[in-house]
Amino acid sequence: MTVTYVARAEATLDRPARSYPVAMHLTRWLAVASLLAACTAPESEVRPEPDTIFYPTALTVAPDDSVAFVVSGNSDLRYDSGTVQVMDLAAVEQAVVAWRANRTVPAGCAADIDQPATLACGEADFLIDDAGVRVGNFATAIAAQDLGGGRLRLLVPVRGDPSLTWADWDPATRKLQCSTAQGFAVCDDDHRLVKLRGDDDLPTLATEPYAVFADSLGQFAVVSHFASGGVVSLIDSPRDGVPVLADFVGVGTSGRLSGVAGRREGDDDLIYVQSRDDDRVFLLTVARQGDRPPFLVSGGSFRQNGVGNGTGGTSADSRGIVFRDDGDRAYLINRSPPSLQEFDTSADATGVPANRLTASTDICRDATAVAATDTGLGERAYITCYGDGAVNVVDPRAGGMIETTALVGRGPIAVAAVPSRRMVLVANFLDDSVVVLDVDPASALFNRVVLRIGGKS
Amino acid sequence: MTPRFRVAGLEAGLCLALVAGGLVAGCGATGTETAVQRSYDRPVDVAFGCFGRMHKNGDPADAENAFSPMPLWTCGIRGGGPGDTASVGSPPAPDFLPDGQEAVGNDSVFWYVMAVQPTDGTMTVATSRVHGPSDGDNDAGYAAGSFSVKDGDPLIPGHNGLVVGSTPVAIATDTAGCQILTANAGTCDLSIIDLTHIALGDGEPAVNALPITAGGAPLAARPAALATVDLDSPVGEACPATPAGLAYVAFPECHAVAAVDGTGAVVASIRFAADGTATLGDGNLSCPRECGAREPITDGARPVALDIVKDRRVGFQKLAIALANRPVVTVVDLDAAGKPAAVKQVELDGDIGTTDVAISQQITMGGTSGLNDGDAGTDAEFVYAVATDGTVRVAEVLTDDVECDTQVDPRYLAAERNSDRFICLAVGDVATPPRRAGARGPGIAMPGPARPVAVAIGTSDNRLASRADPSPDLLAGHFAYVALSTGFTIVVNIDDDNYPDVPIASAPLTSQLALAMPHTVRDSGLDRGATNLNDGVRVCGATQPSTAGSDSRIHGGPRIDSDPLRVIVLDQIVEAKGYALPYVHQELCTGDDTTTPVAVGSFASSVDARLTTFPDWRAPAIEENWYFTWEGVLSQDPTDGSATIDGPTVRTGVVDIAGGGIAVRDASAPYCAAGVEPRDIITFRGCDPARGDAQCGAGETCYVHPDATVASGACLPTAQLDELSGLCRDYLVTQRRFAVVDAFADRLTLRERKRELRTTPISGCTSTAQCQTLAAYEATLTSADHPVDDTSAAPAYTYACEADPTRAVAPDRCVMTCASDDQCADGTVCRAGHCLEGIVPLPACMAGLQRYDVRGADAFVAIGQRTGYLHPIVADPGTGRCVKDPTASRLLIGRLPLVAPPCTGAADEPNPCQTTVDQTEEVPDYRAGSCTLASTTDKIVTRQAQALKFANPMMTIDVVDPTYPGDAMCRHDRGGTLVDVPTVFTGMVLRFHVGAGAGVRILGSLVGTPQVVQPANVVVAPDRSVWIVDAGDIDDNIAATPNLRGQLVRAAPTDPESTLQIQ
Repeated sequence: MTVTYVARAEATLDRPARSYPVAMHLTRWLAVASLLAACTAPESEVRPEPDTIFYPTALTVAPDDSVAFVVSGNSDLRYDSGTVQVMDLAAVEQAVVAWRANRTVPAGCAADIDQPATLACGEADFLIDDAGVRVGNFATAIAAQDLGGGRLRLLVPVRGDPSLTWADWDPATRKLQCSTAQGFAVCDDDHRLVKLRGDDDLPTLATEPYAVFADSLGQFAVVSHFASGGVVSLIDSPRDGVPVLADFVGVGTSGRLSGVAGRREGDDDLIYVQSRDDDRVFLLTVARQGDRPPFLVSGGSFRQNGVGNGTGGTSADSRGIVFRDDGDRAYLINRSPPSLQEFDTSADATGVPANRLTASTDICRDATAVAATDTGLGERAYITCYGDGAVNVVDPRAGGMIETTALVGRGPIAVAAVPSRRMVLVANFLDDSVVVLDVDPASALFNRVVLRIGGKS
Repeated sequence: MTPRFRVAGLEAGLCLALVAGGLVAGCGATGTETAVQRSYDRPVDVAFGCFGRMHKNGDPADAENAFSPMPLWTCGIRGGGPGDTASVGSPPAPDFLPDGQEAVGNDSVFWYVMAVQPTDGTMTVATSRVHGPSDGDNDAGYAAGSFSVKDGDPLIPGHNGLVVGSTPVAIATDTAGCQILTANAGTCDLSIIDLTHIALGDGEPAVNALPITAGGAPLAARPAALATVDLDSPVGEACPATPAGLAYVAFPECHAVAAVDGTGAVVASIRFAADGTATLGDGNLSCPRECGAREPITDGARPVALDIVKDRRVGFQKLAIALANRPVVTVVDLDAAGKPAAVKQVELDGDIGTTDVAISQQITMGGTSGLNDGDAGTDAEFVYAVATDGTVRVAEVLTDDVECDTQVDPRYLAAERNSDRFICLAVGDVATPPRRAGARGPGIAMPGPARPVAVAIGTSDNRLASRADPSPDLLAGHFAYVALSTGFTIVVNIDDDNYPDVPIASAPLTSQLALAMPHTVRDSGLDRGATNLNDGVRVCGATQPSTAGSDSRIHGGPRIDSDPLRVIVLDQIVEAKGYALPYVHQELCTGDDTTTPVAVGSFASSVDARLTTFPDWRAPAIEENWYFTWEGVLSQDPTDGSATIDGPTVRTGVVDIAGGGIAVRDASAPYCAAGVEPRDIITFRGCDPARGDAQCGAGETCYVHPDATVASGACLPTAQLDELSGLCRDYLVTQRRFAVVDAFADRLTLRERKRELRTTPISGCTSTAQCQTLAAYEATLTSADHPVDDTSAAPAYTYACEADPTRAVAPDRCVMTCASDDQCADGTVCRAGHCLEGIVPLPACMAGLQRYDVRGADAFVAIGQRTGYLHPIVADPGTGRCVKDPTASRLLIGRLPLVAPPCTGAADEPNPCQTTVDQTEEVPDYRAGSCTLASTTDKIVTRQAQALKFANPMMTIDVVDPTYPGDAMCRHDRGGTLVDVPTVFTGMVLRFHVGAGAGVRILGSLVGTPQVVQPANVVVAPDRSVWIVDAGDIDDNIAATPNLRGQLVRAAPTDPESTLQIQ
């Protein structure tokens, strides 16, 4: 059994596996074991199943709520690669509506024994056939750039390469494309941004790409790096051109960077970057000058020092940021102290964002991601709680309070709202599933998991 | 608490992973660490119970067998709190024992402190015997370990809470003290917990659900807050079967507050219209169902917080209600049964809501001899509300029913001696003076970035000894305790009955209006009245109270606590001639130790001078350095990121060069926020060659042109170095300084800047000849020689007197002229007959990211180390142009030019303004007719001097001698004939330190910080103690962060340093 694992690990993409620490340790052990066993498996055996979600690490939803893209990290190196798969949200909604109204159980599904409100289904009925692609191991995040006409460009930081891997979504063919090959293909080198400006003489992408934000109007993406040095990378991603790794900068901290988001899309977008180790939020803009590749410009920083530990407030271990109200408000989640912090990011009289704390809510102790949507009852923030296997639903009004806590599965790690369908999707890392939270306030199952797609049996 | 050992979670996880992979590795030897027992898990609210031995019906014969819950006031009396019927201003009983219960000692009576934890639906109970004044000095107070946490389930390891319901969000005790109620948001009901069962642990079910019904039907609305009425409840009676009295429950989505009786029936209600208007209603309340099958909800006013006060002195009971989304506070008069009798509301200023509320008793305002309610004086009553604008709003609800403006600038009230005027300065009243500069609104501003989370109001009677100076640690009067998001809980004076109510002429330092006014954050400074005169001995030397002594407290009043310094650059002026530069106003201190000039505003200066310098003692930072830098950088954030106050010292941006013009832009739009004004100076910093290419982008080299004499490097594309070094030569060798022509939020248009003579008269030059003369004078400033001996070389450069559009519009200036580059000073090049400090290069010379700084032109830039650079610049909403805010306070300035309008003495006089002062200084004591010193000791002289009066929110100072007349024969003889000639130079700094500024009284801040992480609530107990409910942090065993899953912190207002943590 161990030998088989080794073979799959070795059959991963041709870039050297690298610095994900736990994985490296595991790989070393496995490598030793492989030498002892001297046995490998053919690629067909280590190729991931196209209709399987395994260690999902990220997901995002198309702007028209038609599909969701689910990233599987292959974190146990069971397969030779990670994947980006495409989930048909119309099918998801159809199943949810039928289940909610009549407790209809489609073929291949069953009512969850432990959670009677939940319908448990396999992935096959919801993942679009042959729509996905394969990427490197340990992909961490995903962002969708709107190319117009329903076309999307997905940008995926991959720690195993490391690279920023990209793939384009064509709504007509309902397929992702990141190589000339067909059928659940591995993204080729042209779709894996590794070298600055594609120049072999210039530096490579910094290690530990972590989070990504794509600006559709500004036609760029920004990647944070979860490694010491506080590096942010810029991807120039012209709507009708090929993305290029255009620039990278140190934002001015020795710490690791985490969440990243843009305040308001466009040429003057202000990018907010959080840190694992630093209580500052770093601000960046993207400058374009003539024919030069765009580059990042520091916009300073502000401190998350309004919530804290009795010594003046120093929030750290930040894990996510999401903007609302056209960039005039932002939700930031931190683990220390565990809090959802709401900031006023509207422009003050001088024209700069106020970046002023307006509310904070005590949340679960190991938040991993945050999303927000208006359910019809007003806006709610949804925070994934990794250790609790739960989602905190926070009503931000009145200074912020947890409205409810929904149990969603083991290791929730990513969350995305599907506003028009009144659903929130949650990726559960440890049980290989994506669950659907019903956020229709008219539903009797409001704020409860109504559908689990995939999952370890 | 029993230490346990455990393997750190991460290590354990790794071992599990390896085992799962079939790889059994050695996972031992991971080390062990002590685990601390944690009893709480994110508590949000707390209630109290009083249980113990009592005499039934006051009969001592029953004492042995009667263990029972009792009304809270009985434990309150025993703990030193107010009693059931006594005035709050006097002890309820001489022996601090309830009437009829004198034979029962405090050691037989116990506090129960119950905290609800919505995350796991539990209630954690802590208990302690009551301590109070009747116990004698050795046992009167609480100590670490006084409270122990009860285990709700002994069969499960650890301290377990008692499961009380689904998502309990609030808890309260019924008026009889027998039943504890929780409001459960998860099940839309109440739980009743029998205190007897909790206390005795007799195995009976302790918790019962109590559905709330209206008109006989379940209400099923989610509660957000709970408060119980306080009816007359004698001690010694048996507990009723159901909760006594009424409970008020707030239902946000029902837009109502319900009065619920002991059966769960709604018997009355307060209902809110969409605009927040309140009306009293009956018990037939109808709400959208929020538990079970939900029903649609509607937008509307959302009550989220309640507080009930019973004023035993006056005989009323009132309910205050906070609406989360409407700018109004609601006060409901309750009748004898606790039912709503009348309702009134006070509108608050602005589009805000309130999230917590506290209502005071009826307070007799004023007085300096301890609690004095009921004495002669003006009574008032206040509601304090935590507002969504990050302040605490105050409304007077006894007589005026208005919101009080807590941010009035005390400068406008300095002459007011009627303390009633300060009780509530009504918001919007024409008689209410303007607010402090920078005030966000009428509410009480919190220190730093903190936001108020919760508020409670209490009393204390730790009265001041006769004739003693007020102390921040002695609380007598009525106070609000505000828990902050940063973890601190601060004290706000509502009516400080130890501190004078108005300034006292004979003791101005201990009767500061800014500290005396109601609704003021309580100061923490000690010995505020200290002067340099003690026991008839006046000290002018360095002796002064410590501003950060061994007790970590600030002592004395705000002051300039060290001699101001001029920081000079020797190639601009020699140290021996530093006297020619502007300085801080000094006065003469004649002391018993020495007689010496001292800075006005220093400890040794006169009291009047100190008061004039610091007119608002709540304004200066607790300590900070102030830098007045001539043409200084407008921002001061250090490059290491250790502070983010007013922007980076060195900025980055993109330069656009086209059509001979040059502009710098930054999409983050920082320029108006930085306070940039036309004619300011932009210096492109390039790169530091000592750092290699580290400051350049990929593919760029930090290049230093071989012809450069003063400039730094520039980042140029490595592949184009050969080409660009020639094309960019003239730009690269200059100082790269440009003048701002127009400033927008995201763009500065620039033009080339001419080199000028720094000694150009501030009134303007008159001729080229004059300029040359002044150039010669400038040259002597770098010579330490006496004028009579000075052989400084004639200036090498030529100047013309002409207008310079890159500087102030008028008057004419001495501009450096040239025919070729070699006739220009280093760092300048000759263009069109003028020496320029920077020229517009080819775009390729400034491609990519550019580093630069922004300096204020022709002015001292005043920056406080903590305050930053203050300015009135905003972005025009239509154009984005940086303009002065016409509504800005006159104090919101950060520039001090050498020319200013005359001072008028009026409250709205120009700022800065020009005046004349008596300046005392030490000057050399020359022998007559020579530059030989008659004495090695300088002599002290006092002379009339020109001064620039500069006022900002923190201080008012005079900077003297903006110009210098020159010397005739010897240094510092002031015998020259120069008129209006300045000697300042770019980068010259006038620096001083202000100490002992505004302090903030924080509960328990000095005796080992309680490290409250996330306060969820603050509650005043019946014994007047203050309880902070801390939701805690993650228990991750990381030393750098608090390892708390929640805690309760008890603080005694009679001893604000005495805090007790229950974890």
